[in-house]
Amino acid sequence: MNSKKYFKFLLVFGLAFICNAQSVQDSTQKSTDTGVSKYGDNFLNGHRFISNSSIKSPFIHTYLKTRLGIGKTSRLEIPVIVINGTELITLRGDLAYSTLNFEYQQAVKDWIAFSGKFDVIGRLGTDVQALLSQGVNLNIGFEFGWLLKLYRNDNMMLSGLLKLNNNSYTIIDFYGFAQGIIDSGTITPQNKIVKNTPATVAFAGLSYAYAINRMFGITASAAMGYGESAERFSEDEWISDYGVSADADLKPDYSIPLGFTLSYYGLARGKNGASIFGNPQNIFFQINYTGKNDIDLGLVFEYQWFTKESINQTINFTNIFLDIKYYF
Amino acid sequence: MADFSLTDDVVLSIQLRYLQKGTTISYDVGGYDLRDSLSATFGYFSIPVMVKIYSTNKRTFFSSGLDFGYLTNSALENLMGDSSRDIANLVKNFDLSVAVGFGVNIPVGTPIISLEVRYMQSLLNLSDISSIESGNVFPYRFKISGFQFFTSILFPI
Repeated sequence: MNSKKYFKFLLVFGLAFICNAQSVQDSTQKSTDTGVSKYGDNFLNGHRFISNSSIKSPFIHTYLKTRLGIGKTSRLEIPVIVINGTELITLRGDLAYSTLNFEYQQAVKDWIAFSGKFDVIGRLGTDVQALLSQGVNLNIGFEFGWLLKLYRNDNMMLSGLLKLNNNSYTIIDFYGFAQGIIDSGTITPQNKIVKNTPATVAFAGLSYAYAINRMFGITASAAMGYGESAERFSEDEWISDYGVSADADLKPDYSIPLGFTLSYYGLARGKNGASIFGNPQNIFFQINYTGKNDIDLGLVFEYQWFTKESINQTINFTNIFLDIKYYF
Repeated sequence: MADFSLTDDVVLSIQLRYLQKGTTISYDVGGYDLRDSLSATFGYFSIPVMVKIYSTNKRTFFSSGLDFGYLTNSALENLMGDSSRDIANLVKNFDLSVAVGFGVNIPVGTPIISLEVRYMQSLLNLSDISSIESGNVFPYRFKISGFQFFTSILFPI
């Protein structure tokens, strides 16, 4: 390329860069006028989206989130435990549920963010019969992921997500251990009271948000994953998760710093994983404080149900969570 | 290691390396249970293909990518009995891992010192035995994961 052409190229490139920089500057100024001072905030068309911990938001921003929750079953019918032909009569009990979750997302550019998450979820019987029948299930896991902006306009945003999930399942099965001793007449290496299984699953999916108007919005996400089952000696299997959330923020039209969310979230495991943990379906109702743009503070009420194959029964949990999300 | 700029903020990094991975295993080697009685080591020739995305200040970056590894040697050592055996017939030759990392570039004149911490997780089951053989011989399912720390000097060309 000779010097004249090179100079022309620089001139054209320089003008294009200045124009682009100017348009970026205008966009930033416009977003400031709507009260958003940083790129990637969860606003569309004047509506602020209320986040749900189970349904991934498509917005590229930096935040730290934590969730703490507890719950219990209702109407649980625990089968009578029979050991060597003898019925075990004791206190029945319920299943208790607890969860602790931390997540940090860093917006690297305005089109891509990286996130890391740490989860602890526990389910255990609250009294003798429930504990013997259902044992203790503990899931400790962490997840790394990328969120990429695919499309955004004034009303909607679509992002793609990639994540790697690594869980360690610890199952304490008292009844199975006792039954194994009775069946074999001795304690064998294969018959363990505590079973620990690591499982890695990779997911790819989409997250979408649509602002109906300044008060109402919809968020949806779906992801498909493939990886190891929680049942150690089974083949890898497909897993999918999906959810939709409708939220209402009273602040723009009524100056009341409260928001409400009604959401549905489902998880579909493969046959082997589902035989241990079921395929939980969840309905959430959430009340959030929306008085400040840099914090999401919410109280979440959840109703969860799944079918436990071993007892041929649908188990229902009612849980309550405190969600705190702080934006940087 | 070679870095290729795809855009102003995105760099494709290809690295050739020999990597040794390993772990200690608690196993009943006879008589009584011992912790960390076995040591397994795996040598891989691998090619990580990473995408680095630089932040606005161009000093810090996030990286993510895939690591294609080929097993060159593997051994299981009995730490108590001081004996070792080759277990290449029990482990698959190929390993595909996903890696995520965070790094900092420090310019020192022309060259750049790069520091990076990276987490790697195998995606494939590395055990090459059936469920029937497992338990008494070797685990039916295992993967390798861990943290790595890199220090490198980059020369722009």
